Amino acid sequence: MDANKCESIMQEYLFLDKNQILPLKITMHLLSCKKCRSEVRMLSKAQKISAAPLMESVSPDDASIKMVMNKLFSPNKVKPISLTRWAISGILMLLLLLVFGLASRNLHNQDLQLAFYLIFAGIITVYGAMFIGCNLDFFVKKIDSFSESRKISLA
Amino acid sequence: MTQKRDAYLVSSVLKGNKKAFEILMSLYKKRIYALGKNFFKNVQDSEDYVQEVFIKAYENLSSFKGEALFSTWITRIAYNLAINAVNRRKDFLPIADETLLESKVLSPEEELIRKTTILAVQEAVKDLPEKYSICLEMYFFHDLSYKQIEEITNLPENTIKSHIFRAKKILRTKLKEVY
Repeated sequence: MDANKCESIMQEYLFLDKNQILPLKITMHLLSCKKCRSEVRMLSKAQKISAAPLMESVSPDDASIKMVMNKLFSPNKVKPISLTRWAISGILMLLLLLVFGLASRNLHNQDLQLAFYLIFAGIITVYGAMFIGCNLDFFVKKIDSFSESRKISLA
Repeated sequence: MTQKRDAYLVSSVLKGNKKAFEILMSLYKKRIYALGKNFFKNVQDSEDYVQEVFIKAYENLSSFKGEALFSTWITRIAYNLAINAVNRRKDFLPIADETLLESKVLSPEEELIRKTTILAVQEAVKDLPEKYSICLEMYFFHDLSYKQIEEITNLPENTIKSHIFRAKKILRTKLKEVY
């Protein structure tokens, strides 16, 4: 068989898409050329084998599938609070503290002032703890990536 | 066959069948996870990404009209989500987890062919920009056609074709060396 012809047929074959029907010209050549036929068989086998693993399904009991199902269909699903809302409420809280500080400048009852500041301190602590608790995943990732980058820069 | 199965599952989900969505996820999890591993490199981020993709897919399921294959539709969502994580995109790693490309039931000959294909794709992506590396992976490991890859990535079909052609040529040479 003419080597140039084989080469040109193989080039044409390599340009074909997945599951594309072989043009008549290629089919005819393959019928008469054992070498090309075996090359084509090997190439299509290679493509079939390489695509097979990712086509396998996983068990529906897979952890991430269960988590998605919980997130989507859990009856007591809690919608996460967005970072914007956290930021707005934090700013509002600080503004209120500032307004109270300004408004209570002329207040002579220091016990009352102290009580209010203690309440504010409690609220800020609860706010901070809830903010970190609700976004724990975000903070853990940030800390992980920070320590990774430090390791790289130290190495 | 696959198209009909997926269309049936999607319509079942839209009618309120939660179990059908669970089946859809089990069918596509490996592919989405493999894509995530390319972009995020680590297990935790890839697992989070898989969940994000499925939640987004569920929320937008009514927009799936069956014009494209479900595999194309969900891979497009996954690809866009990964690309939008701009900072992470710089870290794209071709064939990030070879264990994902292992099959349980392969004869020694098939195993050799599988490894040769991975080597060929690795060699082909070496000098390619990352956006084309993912095209090769989609073609060889995600079983997507040129047209599907074009629909997912919005890259020109002819460029995709020529990069895949080059990879196939490398694969051909490598297979010749083996056999």
